[in-house]
Amino acid sequence: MRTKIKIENLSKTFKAKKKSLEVLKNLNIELYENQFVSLIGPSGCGKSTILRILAGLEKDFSGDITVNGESIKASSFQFGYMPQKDLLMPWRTVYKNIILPLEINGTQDRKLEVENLIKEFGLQGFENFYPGEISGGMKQRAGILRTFLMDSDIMLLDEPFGALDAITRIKMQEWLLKVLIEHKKTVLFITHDIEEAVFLSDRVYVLSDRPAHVIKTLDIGFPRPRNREMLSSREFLEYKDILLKALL
Amino acid sequence: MKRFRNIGNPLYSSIAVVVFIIIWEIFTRARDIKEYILPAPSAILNEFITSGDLLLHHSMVTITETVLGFILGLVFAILLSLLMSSFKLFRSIFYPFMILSQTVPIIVIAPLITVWFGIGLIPKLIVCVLVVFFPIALNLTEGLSSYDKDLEELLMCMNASKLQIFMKLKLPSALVHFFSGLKIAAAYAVMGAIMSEWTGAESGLGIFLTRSMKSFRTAAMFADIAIISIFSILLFLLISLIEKKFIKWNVKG
Ligand SMILES: Nc1ncnc2c1ncn2[C@@H]1O[C@H](COP(=O)(O)OP(=O)(O)OP(=O)(O)O)[C@@H](O)[C@H]1O
Ligand SMILES: [Mg+2]
Repeated sequence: MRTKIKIENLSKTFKAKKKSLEVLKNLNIELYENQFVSLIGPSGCGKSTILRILAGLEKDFSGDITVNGESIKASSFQFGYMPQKDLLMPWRTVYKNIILPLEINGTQDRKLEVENLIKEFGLQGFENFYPGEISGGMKQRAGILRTFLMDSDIMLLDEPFGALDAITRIKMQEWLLKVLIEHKKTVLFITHDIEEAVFLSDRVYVLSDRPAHVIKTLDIGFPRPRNREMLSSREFLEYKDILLKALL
Repeated sequence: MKRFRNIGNPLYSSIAVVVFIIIWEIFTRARDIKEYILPAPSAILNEFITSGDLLLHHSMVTITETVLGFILGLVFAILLSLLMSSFKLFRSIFYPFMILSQTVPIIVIAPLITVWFGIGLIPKLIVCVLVVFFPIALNLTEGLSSYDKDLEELLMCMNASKLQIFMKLKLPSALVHFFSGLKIAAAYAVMGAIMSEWTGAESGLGIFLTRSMKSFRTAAMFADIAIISIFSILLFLLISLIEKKFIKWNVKG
């Protein structure tokens, strides 16, 4: 399997006027092609910071990060990055929000493809609604579809389901797995929900409190495609237990 | 109807106005109040008919001053705000002056402008521009910097250019502020034109008002005031209507 992302000895300290805050310390993470990898860790430990560094929003860090074998400092690799807030533009309709990346790249001739994706994402009929008029689950889907259209084979998703209720959340998880496998994406996923991490991932990294480093790496052996029944299997509970112990 | 949500339900307020006018009419007749103190609504209506041509003439003058002044002030304010939000240096030089300029009441500047520019259209426009420009520029500048910084970052991740970030993020984020500036400015523009007429003019609703006052034609004053009010309201409604066209998403608040 080909290595997609390799993060070695990543450290990051935020420096404000007088105070400085060490957020990441010697963090090592690896993602293979088409793998779904989750990061879980205590709130405020630096999970979002890792994605922001990858997305190129934090330039000042130490350590080596390579994407497809190239250092990200040298290349300008474009990830499909979805920040923690849903960040839809309230003045754009759902459709206009989704095609934002296409507008920016100047590619507009993909109407048919976008229409199909809208169907696949369950957003048909809502194209002309404004974000203020659709449900939280819909918003997340729109946000993920917009991330899709950033046209990257690597997706960085920062707690996309964090604000959803339990039922919507499970539906969205199953749906996400289906979509991602069909589209052959490599995913780095942040969550603080242990079940979600086990259900979705091929591998879970457990991060420590700040300054974050990896305290546990767990490969999840469930075959794909996965279904909801696995949630109550004995293996599933064992995985959950291991992660819970690592976190506490 | 949502179209008028900013000014409440128009039906109820219309009924209230009608009731008020009827009570007014009865009151002035019953108490036999002198017309130069408080003319009855019927007397005011009569004034509209007898002095119709005159009122129309003066109205056109003031409306022209106001509309032209408003547009000029608007253009000027937009230019300045764009400069201020594009160039930090420009902003730090001019922003304090902009705020400071508002500490001098325009009413004390207006006579000076009349001294310099005479009693024609030009001094009216200058006063209008001065009063209109500030609320628009302030709101627009404020609006242009009120965008969501996280959205800006997201756009940067999509490799958006500076211009794209401006067009797709900063400008739309500024619209709500911008329109509230416009509405304030519209009211100021009318006031500016009339104030400027008082410091020297041959015609206009402001002039007609003071002339009527001097000859104790109170009914004519009321007619004049009514026109000014209606004009202000129409200007406000026009801006609200345009706002509705631009800001569709804000319906839900
Ligand atoms: N620009 C910044 N300057 C200073 N400190 C920052 C900055 N960004 C984040 N931090 C701090 O770094 C720490 C890690 O932040 P981060 O957002 O990565 O945490 P997180 O693990 O994603 O948290 P959560 O689970 O709540 O989303 C926090 O304590 C935060 O206050
Ligand atoms: Mg976070």
